[in-house]
Amino acid sequence: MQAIQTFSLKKYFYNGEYEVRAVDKVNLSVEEGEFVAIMGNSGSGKSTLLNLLGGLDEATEGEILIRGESLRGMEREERTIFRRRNIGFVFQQYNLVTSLSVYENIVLPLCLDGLAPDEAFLNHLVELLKIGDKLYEMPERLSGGQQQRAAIARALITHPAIVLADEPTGNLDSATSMEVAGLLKTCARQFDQTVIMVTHDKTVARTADRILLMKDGVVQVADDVLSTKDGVVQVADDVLTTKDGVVQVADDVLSKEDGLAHASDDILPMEDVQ
Amino acid sequence: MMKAVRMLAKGMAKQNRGRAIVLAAAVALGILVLSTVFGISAGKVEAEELREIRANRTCAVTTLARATVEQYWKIKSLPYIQAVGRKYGAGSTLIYDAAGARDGDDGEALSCVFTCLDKTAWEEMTTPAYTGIEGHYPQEEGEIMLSIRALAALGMERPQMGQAISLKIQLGPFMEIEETFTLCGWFTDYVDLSAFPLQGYVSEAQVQKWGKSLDEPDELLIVQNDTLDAYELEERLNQDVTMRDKSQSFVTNDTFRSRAVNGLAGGYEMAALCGALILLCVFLLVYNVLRISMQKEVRQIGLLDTLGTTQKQIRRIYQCQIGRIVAVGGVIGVGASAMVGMVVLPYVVGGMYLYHYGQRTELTVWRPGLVVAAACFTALVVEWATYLIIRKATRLTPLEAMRYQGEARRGGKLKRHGGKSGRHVGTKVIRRGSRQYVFHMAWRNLWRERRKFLLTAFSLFLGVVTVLVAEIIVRGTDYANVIEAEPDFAIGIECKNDGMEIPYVYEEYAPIREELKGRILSLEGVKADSVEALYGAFVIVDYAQEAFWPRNDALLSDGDYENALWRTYRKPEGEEGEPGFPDPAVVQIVDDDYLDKLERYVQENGLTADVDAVRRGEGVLFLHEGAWSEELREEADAQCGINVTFWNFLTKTEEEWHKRASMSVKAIQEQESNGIWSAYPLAGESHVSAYLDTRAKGFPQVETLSYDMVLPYFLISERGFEKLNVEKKMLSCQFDVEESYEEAAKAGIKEMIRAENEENASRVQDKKYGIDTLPNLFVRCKSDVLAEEQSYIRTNRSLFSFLGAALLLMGVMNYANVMVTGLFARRRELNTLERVGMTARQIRAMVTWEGAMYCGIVGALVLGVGNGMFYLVRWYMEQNVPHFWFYYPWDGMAVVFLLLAVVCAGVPRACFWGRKRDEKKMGANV
Repeated sequence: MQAIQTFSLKKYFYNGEYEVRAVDKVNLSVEEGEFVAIMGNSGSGKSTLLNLLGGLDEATEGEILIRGESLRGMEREERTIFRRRNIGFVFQQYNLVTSLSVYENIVLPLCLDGLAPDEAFLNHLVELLKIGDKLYEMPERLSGGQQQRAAIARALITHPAIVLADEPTGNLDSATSMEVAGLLKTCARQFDQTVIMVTHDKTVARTADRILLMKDGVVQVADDVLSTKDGVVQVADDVLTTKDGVVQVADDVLSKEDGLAHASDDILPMEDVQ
Repeated sequence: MMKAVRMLAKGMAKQNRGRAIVLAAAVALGILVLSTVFGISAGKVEAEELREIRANRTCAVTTLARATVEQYWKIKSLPYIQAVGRKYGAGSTLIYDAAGARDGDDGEALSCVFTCLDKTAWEEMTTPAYTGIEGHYPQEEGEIMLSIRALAALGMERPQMGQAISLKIQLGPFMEIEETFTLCGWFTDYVDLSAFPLQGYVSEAQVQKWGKSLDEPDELLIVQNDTLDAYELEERLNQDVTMRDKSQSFVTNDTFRSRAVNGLAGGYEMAALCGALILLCVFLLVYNVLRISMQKEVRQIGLLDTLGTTQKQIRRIYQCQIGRIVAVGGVIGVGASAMVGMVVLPYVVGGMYLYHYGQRTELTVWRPGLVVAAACFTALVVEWATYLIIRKATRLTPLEAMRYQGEARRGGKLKRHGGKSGRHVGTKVIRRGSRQYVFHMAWRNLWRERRKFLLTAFSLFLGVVTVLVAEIIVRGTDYANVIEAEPDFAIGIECKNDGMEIPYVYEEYAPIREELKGRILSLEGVKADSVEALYGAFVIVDYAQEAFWPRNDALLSDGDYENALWRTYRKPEGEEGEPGFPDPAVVQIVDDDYLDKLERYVQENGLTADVDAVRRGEGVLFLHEGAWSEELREEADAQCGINVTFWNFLTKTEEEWHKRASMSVKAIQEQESNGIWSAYPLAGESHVSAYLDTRAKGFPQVETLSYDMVLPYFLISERGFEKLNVEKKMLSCQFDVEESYEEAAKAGIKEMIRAENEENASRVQDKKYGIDTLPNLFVRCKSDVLAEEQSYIRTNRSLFSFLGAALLLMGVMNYANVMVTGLFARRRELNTLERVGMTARQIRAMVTWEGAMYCGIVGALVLGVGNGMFYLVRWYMEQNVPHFWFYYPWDGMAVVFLLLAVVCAGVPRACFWGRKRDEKKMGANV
């Protein structure tokens, strides 16, 4: 089943006489349980797309279906509750409520719905995220990585179908970044959740099942893999290298499985290409 | 769900202690200021009202004499009438003052009147005028209730309930009965006994026994709604109630409460405006505190929204927090109000308001109801401000809210400079010195958050302007103005007991003889050019003349039966009947300036009056201050131009001769010389050019002797007076004295007046044959009155200073809150500025400039908009308060601006120092 579908999604901003096309005619389809990374330069529209998917912003045109349910036409209150129950958010700035303890932050979305936390799940989650001993600390006493883990726990506590992560590793060092990205992926796999992650970091992006590249508001095939020059499709240097006079394909591009060579999802992400 | 709300509310409250303290302080201050301002104002109004009630023995200011039962019920049913009571006159007696009696003397004869009141008239209209009411209002026949002073005059210093009192009651001109009463109660009254008689009450049964019908009261006592002024009330009553005859009319006045409100603020409108200003100040303070403190929480609201918190939940979170703050602030505010109202203010006001009219404890400043209302209003304001701010935050999309950076204007365009072709497109580079740059930055800092800046400046402006307007009103309506407007000395005649009517005098009598005037003017320090005198004469008139008919009818309406019986009969219409009795009147000369004013008044109001005839010396103006019915007024207008004849008084010798002559001799003489009128030398005739009601709205004020509706009072021009064969006399005079000679002049003048009164008394020593008494001269010294009222004036001023300070404090608190929170929020920015090379001195200068700009804009607003408001207040007050004296608040403005400059520049500097100190401390800790 499709977790997310967008149809000709547009988000235009008007600044006096100028029109800025932050998201332009995006048709996107994400399977349930899929982990998708969106990459792109600053201003390419990736965060805007994420905000549209999360119902935080209104599209200028087009439609978004979350598990088959359209966001269009939902009242604000309805959308808030929909978001609370179906979408988890992870932000670059962690955005923990500073006045609440880690535990309170994690269980907040449940409490807002009048639900008691599933203690077993909570324990499992915090153990997985390695913040079991920090539950009663205040956020400002945690490191960045710990805060982000707490934010991930908060995003996952309601068993949302979709987790939207906006630069979740943007404020973290590379080791912690990989750790957090790994945790995101692990959780998504374990709890069968769809994750869409916006990132600048190629290494982090590679943890995703699929990489989408955005440029000028349009989703493209990752141009660090294939690009066009003088009408000829070019393969990125780090994909094909020469070693001892032999052209090598990078390990993360083609892997061997069951005796067959498989192309990595981020190289050939589009279904029709496959 | 509530758990989450409580959890968040608790967490946020813990995190926002600073805001909670400021907000709780604002709430407490709001309650304190509101309850104190309105408590003092209401207390003052109530006390002034009570003074008036006590000075007049009733709170009913509107009356209708000879009312019918139908009129009573009709008036009672009118929506603008609060209460109607019935009053029956039940005779009077003379009590020889046993308390003041000396050996072998009966004591001074004091008149004591007896009245019967119905339940409403007694309980609602009369008891507020008394204190120490003991016993009960007379219910049974033979029961009597007397004032403590009447009892004292009767020699009953320690009255006993049930004590028998025997009195001779005068029930009419020819009817006196002796009755033994049982004392059923007493009370303490506060009226001036030189103007009012002693008072006693009897029961309805007693009145019935004396043959009076309870169906027809002598007078209806009416209390109208406070907002209705005398003119409007009279008009509405005349529309709604049918008069029994043309002589019946309402006597209307403004209520004591409305007079007290006018005295305080010039009227209900101004009081409401002042109230609204104060409420607005409180609103702005609370709103600004909340708005500023909530700014950083908009992002938090955005986050909560993103996480799935509904708007309702967000509102609840903040309402929980604010509710707790309001509760804490409310308790503090109510406690502080109670403290101020019960301890501080009574101490400050001392024995002010009921000065001479009862105990000081009766001034209530602490009003729990008012404090509760203030607390409710403040809570509502906070609730409203919270709602506005949360609504604003929740109107943003979660995304906008999370990215919220304050209220700085977003999306501003860069100005393009360059030629028409646009070849040189770009921002203009303005070269500035470092000082100008600092100044420019300070301005940019304020302007980028212009809404906050303007709102705070407006709040400060309101605080300042309210203080200054309060000063204008307070100083303008200060009782000292009334006294100061008077000349240093005023000399006039004093009429005993009835206080109003001029008694008979000798022809040669002059209130202020020329010789006395000369002696006064020769005193050292007396400013001869300041002397203002009333000239005219006392004359004899015949009330039976047609010119007096409207006045006679009006007397009947007033229920003054004694005068009606003796003095107001008419000659049968169209017949030459018997002349009436010789009665006194006053003819006072007025100058052309006054006649010009009067002419304008007559024209503006479309009245029937031939002022020109007066100017030409062919007419007189008949003044009256009794309420005449519409029909009577029309009748009077119709007979304008009618003749009136004046006679001279008899000389002392003639008067004594007449008294000595036996009735038979007199009768012979009267027959021989066409009645008693032949004895009075004819002074001349004139025409009545107008009948003018001196209490009418807009009537040009004229200085006169005090008189009532019984005494006819005429105004005449100098030319007209010359045509009369009457000696011109000085009726009263007033003058100023150089300050340094005032004390000596006062002693000299008082001595002269004493000697003059003694001489007058000696002239009437032979009371049996001649005039009983001549009017006493009095001297009124402004300095004495000022000294007497000093405590009242001082306390009044100090109360208003207190109010002004409280209002200003709110404005200052608002400003301080803005500056402190603003600088706190900008500390990162200030650090950055320091890192990029701005010196601490420059930063200090920048924040000081920011403060100075607040001061500047508030100053400009006060001088611009505020000035307009001052003159608007002046116009309003001058329309409503006759003794209002406009003072431009220069001194108040100077003080306020100085304070403002100190606060505006001082607060940011103090914050800056605080920031540096904190940084140093942190550095040391590291």
